[in-house]
Amino acid sequence: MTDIQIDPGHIVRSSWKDVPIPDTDLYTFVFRREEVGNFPPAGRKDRIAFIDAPSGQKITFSELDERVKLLSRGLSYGMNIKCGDTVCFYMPNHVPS
Amino acid sequence: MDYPTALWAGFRLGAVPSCANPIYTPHELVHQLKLSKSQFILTHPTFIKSALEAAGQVGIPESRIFLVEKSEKLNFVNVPDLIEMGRTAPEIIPLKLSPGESKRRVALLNFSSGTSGLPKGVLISHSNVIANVCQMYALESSGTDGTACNGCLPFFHSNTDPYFH
Repeated sequence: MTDIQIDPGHIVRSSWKDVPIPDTDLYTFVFRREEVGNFPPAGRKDRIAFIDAPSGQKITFSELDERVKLLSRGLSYGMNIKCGDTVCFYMPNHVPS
Repeated sequence: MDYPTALWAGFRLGAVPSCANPIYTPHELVHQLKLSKSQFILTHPTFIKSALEAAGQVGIPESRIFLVEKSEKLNFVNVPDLIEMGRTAPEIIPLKLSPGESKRRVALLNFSSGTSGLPKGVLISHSNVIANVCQMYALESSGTDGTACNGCLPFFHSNTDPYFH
């Protein structure tokens, strides 16, 4: 992708202050935010990340992080998915049953 | 909660999720598979028939289709088994972006419903989603910790990307 040159005269500024935007990836932003500027401030790891309304099942950020890490290894070694591969997600919102 | 689990596992690996509407017909799914050049399909047992039909049309082998949950009747790799495998598999090298790369690196390959004509692919960078979250935090941060938000949007929809980050 190429950087686009924008004429400064065509930029309309918001009346709100600029917000810092951490220069990182989405996994680090959600689970390691304190390592990348901590904005928005990271919450406690034991707070609830998701609640499934029908079943009441809950998962905390630390439990979710562990599950994500295990699955990333599983995707790599079990499915041979590599960095840069595209995976089509063809499914509804899902909670383990 | 394995839809978001799989998204973040993909991000950690550097893979690019391309989220499709599960009620797409095989014909509609083929369009997205082709444009996104998807090599893998993650689906639910309910939608395996359409997934297989579309995969056959674009040449994705059955070995590259996996299920978000176990199924007695279907012999496919599934996410719970992959999570178990992750307990003994070696650690991977997680995605590490160079300075400034978050603005260029594609995180998600979403499809717009395409006001006119067929759906169009939209390159969403890591920074795109992070910027949305930071802007929402700046405007709506009062009482966020401990507040439950009602997540009624479908996770496949691009509207949802910033909300669960």
